[in-house]
Amino acid sequence: MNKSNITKLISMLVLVAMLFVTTASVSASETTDEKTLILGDTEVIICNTHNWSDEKCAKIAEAVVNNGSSQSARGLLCLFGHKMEYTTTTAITHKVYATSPRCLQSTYNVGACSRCDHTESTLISEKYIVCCPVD
Amino acid sequence: MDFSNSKLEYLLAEYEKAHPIGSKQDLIRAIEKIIASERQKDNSSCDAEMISEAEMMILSLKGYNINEVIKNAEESKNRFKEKIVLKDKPVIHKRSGRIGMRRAAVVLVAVISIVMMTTIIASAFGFDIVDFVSSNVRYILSLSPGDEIADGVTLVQNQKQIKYDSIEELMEAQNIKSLLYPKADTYDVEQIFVVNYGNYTEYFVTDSGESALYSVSTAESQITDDYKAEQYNGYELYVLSRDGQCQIIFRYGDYEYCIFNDTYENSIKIIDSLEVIEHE
Repeated sequence: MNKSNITKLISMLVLVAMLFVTTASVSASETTDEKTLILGDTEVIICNTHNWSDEKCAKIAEAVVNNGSSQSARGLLCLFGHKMEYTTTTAITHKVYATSPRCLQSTYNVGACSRCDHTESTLISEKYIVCCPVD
Repeated sequence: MDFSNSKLEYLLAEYEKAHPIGSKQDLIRAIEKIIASERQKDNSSCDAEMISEAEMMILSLKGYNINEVIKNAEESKNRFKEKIVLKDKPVIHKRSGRIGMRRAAVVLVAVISIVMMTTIIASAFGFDIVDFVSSNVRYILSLSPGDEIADGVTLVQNQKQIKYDSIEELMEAQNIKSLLYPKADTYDVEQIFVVNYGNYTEYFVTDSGESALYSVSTAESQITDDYKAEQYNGYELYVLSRDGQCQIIFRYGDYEYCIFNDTYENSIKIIDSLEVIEHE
């Protein structure tokens, strides 16, 4: 086996290895992970498809509870716009009403910038649900 | 060469009366002055033939072979003509075109390289240049993301957006056999958000507005005493009115429909707009 054939073989092995690594990372990124955060009477369930950090999830939950986007200083990387990633989030505000159905379930389309702390949320739907028993 | 222009002879005779011509140089000077005075005349009265003959005479007096001079002049004229013709020939253009093509190719390669390098470097720093450019072009053309979908509906599930040409196509993909959906002339549905809650799935049907018109769920809600039951257009509605909000729940086929709105009238308006879409 001469030198050029060895080089070709190594290149092919490297390519195959890269293919496996890429496939593994893509499949890992597609796994759905739900994160539940509780802020006061509100339970926020984030469909974390983007593997957001705990800090980012907390910021999103805060934005959802405050019903809007969180303001943050625009970094140099986001000078020409944010790189937004979106997912759906459900917020259940417990014991909103005295009689059943007591709890209000709100569904949001939330977005977070992958480069900075900017988050935004849009309310898609609301619905009273039977969740907490009547006191 | 024969110089027999009587006018030139006459003018020379007249000139000699005032300025005696004693030598060849005097004669040349005399002819030059005659040519100069003739050239000062108008185009109509100027005798071009006499000027030409006088010039030939000067050349002859200076010792040039007139026939040779004429022959050379003819050859020069022909060469000049050839050059003019060559200028118009496509071969000249072909040569310059080839150079132009080469230059254009170099510029094109340079531009492509710069664009690719910029994209790669930007990507390394986390920028999505393609997305940035496309979103800005959309903004300049005043197109919101929904405007590009003239017909059809987009299914939004997790981070994925799938565009379908029709609701029937979406139903086929989602394995939905029957669905209540707004008639074409009522609401223009743009997006359907899908949320999987583990044991059940909910679809949120939205038009150009941000909030959903209604939701479709595979689960069944628990109907409590706070709901008021009523019949409307063949549907059994459960109406929950609270603090200026109205929630109407009803079942059709395999799904439960929920309309959450500010007023009962607005909720009924949405129910009126619905028609059955069936997919085999």
